[in-house]
Amino acid sequence: MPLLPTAARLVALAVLLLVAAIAAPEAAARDSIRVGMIPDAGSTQVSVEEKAPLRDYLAKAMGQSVELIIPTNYNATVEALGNETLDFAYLGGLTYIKAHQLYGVVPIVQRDADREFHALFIVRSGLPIQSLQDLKGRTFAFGDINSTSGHLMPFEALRRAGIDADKDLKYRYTGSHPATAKAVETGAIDAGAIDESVYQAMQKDGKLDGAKVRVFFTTPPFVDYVWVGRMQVDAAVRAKFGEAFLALQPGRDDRILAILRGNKFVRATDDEYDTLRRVATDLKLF
Amino acid sequence: MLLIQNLTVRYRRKATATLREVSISVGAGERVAIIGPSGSGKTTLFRAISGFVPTETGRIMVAGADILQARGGQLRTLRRGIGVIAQQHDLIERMRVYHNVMAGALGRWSTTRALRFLFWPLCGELDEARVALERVGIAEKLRARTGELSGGQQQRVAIARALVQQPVIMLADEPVASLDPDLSQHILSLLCQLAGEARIALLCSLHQHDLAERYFDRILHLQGGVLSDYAGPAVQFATAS
Amino acid sequence: MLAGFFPPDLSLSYLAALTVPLMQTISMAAGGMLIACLIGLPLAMFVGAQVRGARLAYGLLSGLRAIPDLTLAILCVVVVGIGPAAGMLALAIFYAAMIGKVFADLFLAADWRPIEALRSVGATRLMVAFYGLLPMTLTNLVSMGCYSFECAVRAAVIVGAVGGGGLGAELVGTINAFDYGRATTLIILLVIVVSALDSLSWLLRRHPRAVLLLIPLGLAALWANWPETLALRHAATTIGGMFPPALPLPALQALPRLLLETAFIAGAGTLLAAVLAVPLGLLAARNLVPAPVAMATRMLLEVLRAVPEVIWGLVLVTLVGVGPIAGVVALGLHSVGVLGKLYAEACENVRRAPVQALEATGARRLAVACYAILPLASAPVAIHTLFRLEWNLRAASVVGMIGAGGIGQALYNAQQLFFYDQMMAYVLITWAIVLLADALSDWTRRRLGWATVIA
Repeated sequence: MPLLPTAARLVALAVLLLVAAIAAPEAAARDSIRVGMIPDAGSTQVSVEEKAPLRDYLAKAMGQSVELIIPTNYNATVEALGNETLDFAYLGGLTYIKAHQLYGVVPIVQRDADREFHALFIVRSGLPIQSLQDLKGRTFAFGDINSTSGHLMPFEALRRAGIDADKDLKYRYTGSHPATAKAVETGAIDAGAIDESVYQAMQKDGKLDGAKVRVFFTTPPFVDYVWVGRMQVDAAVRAKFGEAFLALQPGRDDRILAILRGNKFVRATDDEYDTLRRVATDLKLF
Repeated sequence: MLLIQNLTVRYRRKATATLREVSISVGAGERVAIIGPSGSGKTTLFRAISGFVPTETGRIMVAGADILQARGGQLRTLRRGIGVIAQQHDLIERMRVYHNVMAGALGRWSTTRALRFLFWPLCGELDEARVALERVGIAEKLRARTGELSGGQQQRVAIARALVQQPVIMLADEPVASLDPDLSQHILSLLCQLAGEARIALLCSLHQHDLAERYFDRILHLQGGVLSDYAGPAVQFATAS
Repeated sequence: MLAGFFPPDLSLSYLAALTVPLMQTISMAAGGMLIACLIGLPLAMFVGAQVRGARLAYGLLSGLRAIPDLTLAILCVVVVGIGPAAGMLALAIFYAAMIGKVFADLFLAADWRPIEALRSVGATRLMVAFYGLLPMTLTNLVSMGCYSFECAVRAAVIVGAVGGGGLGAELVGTINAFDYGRATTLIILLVIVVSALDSLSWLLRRHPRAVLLLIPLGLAALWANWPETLALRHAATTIGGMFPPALPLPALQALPRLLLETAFIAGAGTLLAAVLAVPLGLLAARNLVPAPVAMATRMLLEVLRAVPEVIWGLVLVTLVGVGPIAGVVALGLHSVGVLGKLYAEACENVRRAPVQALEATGARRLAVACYAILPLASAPVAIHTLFRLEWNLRAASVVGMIGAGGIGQALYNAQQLFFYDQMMAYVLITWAIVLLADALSDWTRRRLGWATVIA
């Protein structure tokens, strides 16, 4: 009699192969740095290519090859930090506080404008909407459900104005800021909430017809976007990453600053986000 | 070689038994025919001897061991000693003839050898298949696709498979039911001749009396699940071999 | 709004940029299918050999298959991270269950006589599988395998949309960026790929041995997509966070409405499809209409079928806005493609004798259709429709995730907000509902005495 029945031997072989297959690639180290960006203009091959100058700049500054990755949604970006697919990422305020809580990601730098950021309420020109109260019964677009300037802070502004979005608005999530702008421009939706820097950049680049959309409300300032690093990434590498952003200068690095939609970068810290945490907890989004 | 005592089989939903108190004994080299109308229980009897049918009472002794008590590896060993030839439809039509013939050897082969033979048959193994096919007269069909063979040829392949098995008992369930009269005679005489040569106990079911009388040592009659002697040149119940 | 989808962007530079996502999608499907076959086939053989534990394994396979692939994909993105590896893993799990169940059904339906002949030789179960079950069912295995592969490519697009990358991510991206011309390009590409697979499966059915040639492709795909790191600790904590599943009170109160909405999407979508599929199916039946008409109708059905529900959903959400109507139309469009084809085949496969008898009386085509072909084809038509309804219940929860509402949307939002315990609660509820529907439709079929038709 053989030691084991055939079936058991086959199972053992399969398990062995599986273990070998899992173990082998893990031993091989990755030599490029992976940087994730939020899907604010669609996560397509083309949009990755548009950001090639940023990738090249970072690669040069870090002395290592850099891969830019745009996941399809905010959640995927955070989970990618958690399971170590990404080393650095560009996160919104709300996603940052979640990623920090879940995986201890470290804030590195942000645009100076991110410290006093605003969300805009936009409406199609010609509609009689002048204040938040006028939105009652209208169709309304939030961006991604995890977006700070596209969902969390506008939601808070509505609540302060006495509007219960769940009852008073017919709202949907468009998944991104440009999508919100386009939905309002084309008339698919009456009004929406959008990130101010995306709105301005879209108008400047001619991607949005300024005559068809107007801003009717601006939220009070809050802290938003931030570049973060995974906790396990070497502190020196994180510092180098931050320096690369701090060294950006208007005039010299305009192409890269245009991609980043900013003028100047400053160091970011975690305690800036305490207010945001309170709001998010109040709204049961955190 | 084969000894059946008081075998009763009852299918779950039926009130009457399919086989009632059936007793048979077949010695080595003896050729026994069972005749009876369709539905009389012949196929059930044969499947019971191979251990495929749950039985109510009785014993089926194959080469001294009760197949009804055997399980797992022991059951497989006992089955290895029983060659089965069915009406048809029990060959794998997609496979080549030598695969079907050598399937008779699966009982004594290791799993690795069985898998290897599927993709990589060795010369010696093919020769064994060819010898078996020569004995049934269709050696030239060794590499043919089984499904492309005629009914008579397929029946010969089934016999060749049973020969490769080197059984001590051969069960043939209506082996000529779907063949024309000439071919039927040929197949039956072949079967009986081979059984005689190899001292195999042959149990064969038929529904043609004339064929049974011509080729078999002894004839039994099965009707309504009850076995009786056949009026004719039948011999009295033999004692166990 | 619809005009925005034309003309498609067929510029060379864009088409060149699409090769990477296209390869990702195909390799996700190929690698996933290879793993699925390696796991599913032995499991199916295990069930087919009817040894002890086979029933349990069969139940397990049915259960696993009832989890929507998109849900699995989301789970895999959480565990493996973004990229084709997650998608591949999700497809591997889903299709291992699918192949296991479908192949097991084929094995269980195989002719028992040759099997018994092999067992009577004293062959072990494994030998019986290789000398009997596999060769006997090979043609059906290959054709079901090809069908599954085609489904897997479509599923690869879907799982791509939630983080698997490839064409799915590209499509979601273009639609989010309101780049409709490019979305049309992607849909055309998808239709081409699926019809290419159709001809591949036709080839394989004639030369089943050529299936072996797909193994290197699958291996290459596995090599390319294998996750660099399986963050096992991360996976364990994340999955740990999903238990115990819990729903806060407001979510519980909203549950009946969500379930009704999902059921409505499934029911109305199937009804819409069935109503449209009857005339289209008749127009596609080669024994009823002139060949050119049948061909043209078949092409239309093919296009409708090639685009998965979720992709129709993405397009429709932009056209008719978010809400159940988008879901109903999305399910309807894809299901018309599927049902129309099946109805046409049912008409073509009816027994000739009664039809000829009626034709001999000099009856017109329409009369022949109404008095002979339709009554004869009604049983398979009913079976296919029932199967579709069951399938659409699963699909309704999936299109919910992209904005059609219902329980799918609730699941997606919970996942997006990292409320994994809530997400798991929704996953389990969806799963239970689908299992219930499975059992219900099984029961109905047996009640009505219909034989099981596979997929």
